[in-house]
Amino acid sequence: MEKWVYAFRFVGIGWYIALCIGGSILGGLWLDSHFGTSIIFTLAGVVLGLVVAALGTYRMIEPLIREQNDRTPGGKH
Amino acid sequence: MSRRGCALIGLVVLVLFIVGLAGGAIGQGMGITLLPQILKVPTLEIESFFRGEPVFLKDGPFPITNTLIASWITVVVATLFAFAATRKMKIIPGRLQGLVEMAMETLINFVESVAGHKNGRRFLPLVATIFIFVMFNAYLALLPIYGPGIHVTLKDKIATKEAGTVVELMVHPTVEEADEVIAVIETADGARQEVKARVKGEFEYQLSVKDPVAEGQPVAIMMGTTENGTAVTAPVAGTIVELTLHRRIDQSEEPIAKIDTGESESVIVNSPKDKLGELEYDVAVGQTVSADDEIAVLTSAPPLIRSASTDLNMTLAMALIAVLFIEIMGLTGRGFKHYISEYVNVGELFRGIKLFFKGKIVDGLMASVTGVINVIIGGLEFISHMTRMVSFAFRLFGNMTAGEILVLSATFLIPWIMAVPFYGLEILIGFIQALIFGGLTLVFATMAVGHGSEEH
Repeated sequence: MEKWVYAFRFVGIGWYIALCIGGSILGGLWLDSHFGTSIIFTLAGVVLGLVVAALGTYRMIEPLIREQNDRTPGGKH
Repeated sequence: MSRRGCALIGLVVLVLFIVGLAGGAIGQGMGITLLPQILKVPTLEIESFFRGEPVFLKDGPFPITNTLIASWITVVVATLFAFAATRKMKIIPGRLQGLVEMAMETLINFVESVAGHKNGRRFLPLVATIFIFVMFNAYLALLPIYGPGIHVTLKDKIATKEAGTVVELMVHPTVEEADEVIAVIETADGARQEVKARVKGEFEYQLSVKDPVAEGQPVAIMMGTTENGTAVTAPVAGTIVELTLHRRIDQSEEPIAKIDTGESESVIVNSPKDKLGELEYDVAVGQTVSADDEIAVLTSAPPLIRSASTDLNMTLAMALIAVLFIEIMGLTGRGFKHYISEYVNVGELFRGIKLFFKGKIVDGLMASVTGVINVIIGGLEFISHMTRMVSFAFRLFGNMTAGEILVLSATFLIPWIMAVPFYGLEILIGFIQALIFGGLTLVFATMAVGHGSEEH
């Protein structure tokens, strides 16, 4: 049943990435229109969204990577 | 089944397929007019995509929507089903009791295999409820009494058969309160002005939407009361952009307009048979019409019941319950300190700052950097927990709504035949979505409880 747990844990990753990137881009667009700047905040939003999405995704799959490393011939399994 | 039987069924299916292909939207697109008017595809207009439509207590503080009624039905049906299955419990179960026992056992095994015995028993009530509720919702929504999962208004165009002059429009909107807004006029500079009725009663519009209007021109005239003939005039010149009062058709074949053809007797135009809803006239009194001109559009009323999962409010409410449950399980399972340290992890940062002030600059700097990273990771954790809510809500809503749209489109593209395989698909999707919603709640709750104890 471990498989179920892993499968379900990764069901939400796509949403997480989409919401991180989309949300921060929308936030950047809003800030740009609010302060009258042209694209600075939007670009910052893109970068921030990508970074947050990547870091978060890495954190979510980290346990799986660690376990895979344990199972390699050098590991205990 | 005998070979003759098979061949007969195959033939019937083939004939239905060909007739459906020619008579449905595909055939109509190619200009084939095979089927009578009643089977033709009406004009579809999608309204109210994300939520159900109020059908009772429309103006009250708590309107009853058609999706809400559907979820009540689901609750009642699931309860009755459980009651029927457990009413006469026997040691050697009958068919219904056996089915329910088997389903419950599968659920219990599934939950316990993921969360373990102790936690499994704690999670089971909510996870099983979600599973059963979502699945019953999906399966009940396949019944023909349920309307389409998006509010599709069927717009029937009512045309006149004879040419002539419109002398009377018979379906009158009623003003319930004095000062009610009856129309909106847009002036040349784009400003919008409301036209208000001063008295109560039945009105007849003298203009239709998109008509130009001059200042002082009557927009509507009072009908059949002591105030008979009083006109509501336009306060400004402009174009009519909205007529806010709608005329309802409550009976089949209600007379809606009288047309003077120049002969001795006027022609009366009726609304279509067995179709009720809101009527909007495209003509005004005094207007000349030619044969086959459209004089009104009848918009069907929303269906009384609509699949509950096609309402984002319902799925969001369930997502809220699931996420709250997960967080509460995490809080009680791991203790307040552990739970909160997952989001607000400032211990290392404070240690670094303390070291810094003690004069251990390098150590303090290192600890501070780790501390800042910990804070960022806490933020990430918070974001990932909050996105669960959105993904829960939109996943269920999206899948169910898409399924309804799929079945609806298939029904119109090739009537009778095409919807059947998609019904099969919907049965599968109903089960899968129930499994995913319940399973995700279970897995996240297990992670929230077990995370700390596994690692430390």
